[in-house]
Amino acid sequence: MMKVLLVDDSKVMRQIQRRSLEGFGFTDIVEAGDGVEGLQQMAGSPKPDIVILDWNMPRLDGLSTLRKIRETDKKTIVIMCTTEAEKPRFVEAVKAGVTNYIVKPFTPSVLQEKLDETLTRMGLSMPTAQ
Amino acid sequence: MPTTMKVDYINAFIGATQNVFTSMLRSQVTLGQVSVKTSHVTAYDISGIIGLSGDAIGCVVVSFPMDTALAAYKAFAGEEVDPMDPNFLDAIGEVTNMIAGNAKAALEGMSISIGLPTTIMGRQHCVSAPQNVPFIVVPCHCELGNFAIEVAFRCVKD
Repeated sequence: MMKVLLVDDSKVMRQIQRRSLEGFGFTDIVEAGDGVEGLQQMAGSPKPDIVILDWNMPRLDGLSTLRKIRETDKKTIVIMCTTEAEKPRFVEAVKAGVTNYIVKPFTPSVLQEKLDETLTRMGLSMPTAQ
Repeated sequence: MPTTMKVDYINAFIGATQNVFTSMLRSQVTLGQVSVKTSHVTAYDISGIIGLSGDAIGCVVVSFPMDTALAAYKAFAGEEVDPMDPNFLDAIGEVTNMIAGNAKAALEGMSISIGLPTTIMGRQHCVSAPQNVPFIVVPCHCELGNFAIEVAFRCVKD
């Protein structure tokens, strides 16, 4: 079962994402309130397979967190989930190694589509929903 | 105090509000009469505030009465909340963050930075704009109740 890490400074947003992910069949879900906590979670065992990452956070923002992850890990799926919708920001994230990008606000079906699209591209599949 | 704002600017925030409420709160927003803000006191008692900088200066305030804020939380998070729970103001801040972010994206050709949201809960609290920045109030209504968007915005090139 794939492990998902939610990194967002809004606890409510993490709650909403968690609820959606549980509906899609994910059961191993951990959370972090900013990039520093996110990197601590990435150092844990087992390492998350998927990171859903906000951009604007205190202490360490999402782009910096992504760059830190990619210094040593090119494989973990990182999906940016952010209000940053302008093309230059998207390009920055792509250059930093983001796997996919969701713009807030989003509906659960958009999150599901993006996850499905990402996993399919990587030769993986969504868990079976309970 | 300046009393005019280009319609494109205010439309970006109105469109963002409607988009956020439709997507995340499943509620259609209708608008009241837009007017110039004449008092520093916010429209209602619970506000999310985000500062703007870069090619524009100002702020956006999303202001709710308690009943609308509680209904919005329930629509957003899927459960009820006590107003003293930190998650309550967190949600208000996140809604404000999404509105500011969406508006920023709609303002094509402008490089704007938005700050992290601040939230305030308290009667008759005040939010003021930088000097010489127009401050507009947009009364809003949806199934969750009334609320208001207050936008202080000046393009530095204007």
